[in-house]
Amino acid sequence: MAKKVLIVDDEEDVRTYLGSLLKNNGYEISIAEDGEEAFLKVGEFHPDLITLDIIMPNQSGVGFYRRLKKSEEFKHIPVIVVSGVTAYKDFFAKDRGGLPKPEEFVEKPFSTENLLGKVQTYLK
Amino acid sequence: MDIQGNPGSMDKAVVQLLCDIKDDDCHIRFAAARTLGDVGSFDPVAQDALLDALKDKIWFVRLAALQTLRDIKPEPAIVIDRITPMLKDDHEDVREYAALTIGDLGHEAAPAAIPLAEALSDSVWYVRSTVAWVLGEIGPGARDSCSRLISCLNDDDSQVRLNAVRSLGMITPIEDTDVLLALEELASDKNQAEEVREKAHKAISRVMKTGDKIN
Repeated sequence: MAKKVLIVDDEEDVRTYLGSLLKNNGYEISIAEDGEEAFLKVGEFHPDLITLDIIMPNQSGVGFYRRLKKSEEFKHIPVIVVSGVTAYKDFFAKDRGGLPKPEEFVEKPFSTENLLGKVQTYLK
Repeated sequence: MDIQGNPGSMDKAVVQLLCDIKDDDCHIRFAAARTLGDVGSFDPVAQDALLDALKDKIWFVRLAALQTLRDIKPEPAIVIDRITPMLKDDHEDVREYAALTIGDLGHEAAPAAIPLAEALSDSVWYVRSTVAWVLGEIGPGARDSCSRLISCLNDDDSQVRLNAVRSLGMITPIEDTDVLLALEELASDKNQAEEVREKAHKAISRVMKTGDKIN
């Protein structure tokens, strides 16, 4: 059975590109446009991995991530943060939040090989 | 104008970014706010533009301006005056980042201790958690926040409780028996998470050690 990836990004171009890339490599995908929708999708789709943008309308990627990692049911799901702003790593300092850092950070614009390699690492 | 006040000699890139940070497109404003930190960090005009961008109507532009300001480290007085009001921003990520930026000042952030203490009532747990942590970074200068931090010992969120305990240990003078009693109560409360009780023990030890040094 194909592994499932939830793509969370408010930019349609990124969703389309990432969606095609992952589908073409044998993954089943679902998409969400903001943190609120993403949390609903997590419950419905039960992804094996999430790619997460940070700047999105409504609930940001930061809020979504913290909600996810506080959930006993979903906290095991690996998250790859895909963001244009590396400063967002500050948000995930364990000292303050008490939550583990995301598995990976990928800076936009990203290379296909880099992102795919990281996805494959967690979905072996 | 450049840092010496010479009109016309400012880097062309900075001039462009100063236009971009007022663009109609919020994504361009966002990018300009982040990039100004790379090319205009020592330019007071760039810093002013970033401070203006803290009032942008789009939250992520405000956040980008805040992040860049945190990188370039403005004078403490500027941080206190201009960033403390952002603890009441509409967006939780901006409020949290404002607290972090203030916290970078360490003991120099003492004038912001009361607004920070008020932010311990934020509706979002991770804002409360970060604010609780930041108060500890201020140290004894945040003494007026102790009663609100004690209230946080009953917060629904364990991370808020943990950070409140940690900060009480860093702020509290040994003569403040109310805080010590609250910490002792917490340390012996079997209903609390092990981690919280352990942190309470550590906080008490820290307060006692600080008291020993003073005495």
